Amino acid sequence: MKTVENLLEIVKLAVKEAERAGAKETEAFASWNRNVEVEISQGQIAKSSITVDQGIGIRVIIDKRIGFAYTNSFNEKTVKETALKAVKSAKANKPDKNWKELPSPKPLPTVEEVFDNKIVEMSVEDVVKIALRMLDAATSYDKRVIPFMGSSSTIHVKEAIANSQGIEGFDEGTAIVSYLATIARDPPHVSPWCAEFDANRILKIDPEWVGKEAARLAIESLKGEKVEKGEYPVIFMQDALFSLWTYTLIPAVRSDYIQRDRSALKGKIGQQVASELLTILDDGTYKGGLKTSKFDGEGVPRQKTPIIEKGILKGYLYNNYTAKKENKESTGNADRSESYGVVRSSYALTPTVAPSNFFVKPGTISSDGMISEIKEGFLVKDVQGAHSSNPESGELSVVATPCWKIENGEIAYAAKGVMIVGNMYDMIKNVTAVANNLRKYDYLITPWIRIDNVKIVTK
Amino acid sequence: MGLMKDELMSIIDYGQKSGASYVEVRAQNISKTIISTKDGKVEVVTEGLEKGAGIRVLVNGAWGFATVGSLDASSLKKAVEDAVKMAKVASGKVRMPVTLFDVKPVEDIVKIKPDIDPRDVSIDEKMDTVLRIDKTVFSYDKRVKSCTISYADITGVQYFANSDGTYIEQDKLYVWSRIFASAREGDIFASGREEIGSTKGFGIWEKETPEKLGEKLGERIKLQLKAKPPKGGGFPAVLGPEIVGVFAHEAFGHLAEADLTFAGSVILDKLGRQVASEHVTIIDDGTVEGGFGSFKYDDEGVPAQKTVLIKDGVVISLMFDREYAAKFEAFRRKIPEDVRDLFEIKPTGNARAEDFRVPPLIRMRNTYIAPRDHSFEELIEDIDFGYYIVSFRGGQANLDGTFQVGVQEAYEIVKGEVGEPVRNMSISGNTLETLLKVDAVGKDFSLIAGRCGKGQTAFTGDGGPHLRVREILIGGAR
Repeated sequence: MKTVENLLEIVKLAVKEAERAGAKETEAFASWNRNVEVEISQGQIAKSSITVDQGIGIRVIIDKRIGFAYTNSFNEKTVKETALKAVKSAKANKPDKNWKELPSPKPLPTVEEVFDNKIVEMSVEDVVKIALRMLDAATSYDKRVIPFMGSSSTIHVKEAIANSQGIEGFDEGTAIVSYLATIARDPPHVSPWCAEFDANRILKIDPEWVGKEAARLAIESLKGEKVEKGEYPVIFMQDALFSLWTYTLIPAVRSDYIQRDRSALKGKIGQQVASELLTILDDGTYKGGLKTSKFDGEGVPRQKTPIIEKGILKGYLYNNYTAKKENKESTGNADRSESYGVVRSSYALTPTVAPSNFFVKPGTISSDGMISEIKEGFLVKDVQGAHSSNPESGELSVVATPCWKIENGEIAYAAKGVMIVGNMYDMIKNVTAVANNLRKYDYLITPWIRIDNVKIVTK
Repeated sequence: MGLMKDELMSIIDYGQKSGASYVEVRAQNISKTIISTKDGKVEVVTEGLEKGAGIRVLVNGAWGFATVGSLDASSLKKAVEDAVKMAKVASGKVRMPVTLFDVKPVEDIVKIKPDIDPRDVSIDEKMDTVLRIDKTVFSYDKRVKSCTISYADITGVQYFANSDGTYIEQDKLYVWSRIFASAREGDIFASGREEIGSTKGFGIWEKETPEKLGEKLGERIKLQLKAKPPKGGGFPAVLGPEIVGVFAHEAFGHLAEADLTFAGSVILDKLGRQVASEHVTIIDDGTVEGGFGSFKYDDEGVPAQKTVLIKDGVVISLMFDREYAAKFEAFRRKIPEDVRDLFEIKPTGNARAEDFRVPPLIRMRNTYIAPRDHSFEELIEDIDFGYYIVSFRGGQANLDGTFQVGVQEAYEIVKGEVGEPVRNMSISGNTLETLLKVDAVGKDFSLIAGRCGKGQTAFTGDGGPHLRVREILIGGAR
């Protein structure tokens, strides 16, 4: 019973074993990741962990029947058994007439600032120091702040893929994240939950900023005031755009949603679907992007894919299966990650379709300039309840929190009980300004965006 | 209890010798079968095997945790070394050392007798069950245009041992399915979700037949297509068991998870005090027979129990793990004297971990509002205009006590009767204010299977009877 250490070796072994067991086509994807995390809870460091997870997922196709099996053991015997299970699972399945074939090899791009050996070599003490710097910055900002949850962590990921068409790939990445959630208490006032983070693929991170910002947000939203309902210009910060788009715009440009007639943007390529100020592309090769990699979950090269150009819809996101269904090429958007987060893919999942780095082209106006141009409106950091949006119609109804009222070009006070109702596909037509403050937020790389005539309901 | 016990005990011993005051090992050997279908087509059948252990240690009041994807002695030894190393690094920085509330050590083997063991059911039959739901949904209304179904069964054994002398072997069994469907007519989109789950086995499909489930979802979507948008503003409402469940869980429950309470949830200042109307009793119960959130021992080896969080409107307990029970015990003197004895502090069996890869957190089990005496007719007869809210799409709550719930099925109530369906509604407001406005509680009861995310996923049950609130904030798109 040999345990295989080399990821590329193990995926090649799996492909060979599945073929021997009767597979016509096979793809094996293996991942290994090591996560060192120092957790903050109730204002102190009290927990730290090293988690190592590894495994292999084997996809087998026999006469258009698809099967899949995975294991978290790299033991040679277990890998062979898993290949056999995948073959059995394919034989039990019904044929999928839309299946064409697995992707073929293509040259992979070079990607920059996605791996830093300094992160790999960081000691646990170094990771603790980052958490402490962040914590100190938060607690020294104001006594009323409780930094109740947070972490500093490093991630080291290795991935390998091989398929029976000849694809063979290996990639390695790192990331470092520091995150803090706070509330402020000043009885009878309690602020909403406020969170800030910094994340990067290389060792360049500002924990003091995270701590100070998380504290400032809580203090500045401590005494929320009620506001008048109506239609206002609203500035959406990155957090809010991420929450809202994850459940509206993103599914709407996924080819699987389009093909199943589940997208309001179906059949609108070449049409004006958004304000002229909005240009978006999916860029899996973005320098230092949190989702940047050489290849996607099927070994297809990451690339730049225009989605919206000056408001005109240009394209959708494809993986191998959805692309071949339309006799197109995959855009390198096969995704195996379990949930949103930094760079991690799961060996236990089959590929779906998801953005890599969803990049919104910045404008020229600064964030301060953007606020100063609003006579009466709102600045929204994040929203609650975005997951209850209707992904197909774009209809949404969310609570804006933290959220501030803007009056005469300045932030006037924190606003509470602010509910935003509307339709995302109408809202993106009403974008009237795009700021220049780009920020990486999970898959999203965007500046602040101002949208006019946003309907606000209050109690 | 043979080899596994000896192996885990020797690892615990090694951890203690390396300097840990407390060591706990949670090992799992789990199989999963997952089926996903889209529009009548099986996308993929996944067979998964997961084996590994999570080791948690305390050194000088700081936690260290490490995981390993294998159960052989040398890997476990390496993991316990990692965990101790992590704890030692953190221990120098701890201001409030972690202590654990004492619990009685347990030795037990928990075998589940499934109604039907999913391991005895062929892949063919599982696929067929899922496809029958799909077929029912599509044939229910020709405007239905998509249906996505996930099915999963999880089976296996969990081994738990700690340095207090507890050793538990516990079977794991979950059968779960979620169905999403959508329909479109012109510019009107409708979508709906159904979710079922059982800890008893594959027999759930005999009660909740695929056809029954499909029809329920089909009807929900059909109603939305002809539904009208809600009026915005405050209205009286009758909430169905599913909404009551999401309210008990999302809006209130999280505030009463001791870690979040301690972090400053609005409940912290209100222990032992009235926070809801006298009609409201909220319970988190790990012992409901067959409940999706039920189990015998939690992931700290503490027996699951029935925990009354709010009794007749008064907060009388929280959901505790061993760490937070100890923290609150130290905090007890801050609770007002007149209600101090009423408030119960002890580990409640709420420590749960999604799998061996993560340490346990305080999580809910089956969370519900207790039924009282009203019939449904009595609840709605006095409402001149309001809403009957039946099913939700998703919900979210904040520590400051605000909540927002998206609704996928609701009706107007006009002159004491259920009227036309309403679509794209959401309800929001302040949880405690809303609980104070509950003025009548029904005598019916149901629990609905769900999943809760708090960094990790936990299987839960949520529910209760129908109940009436004098006013709730209704919002709606458009």
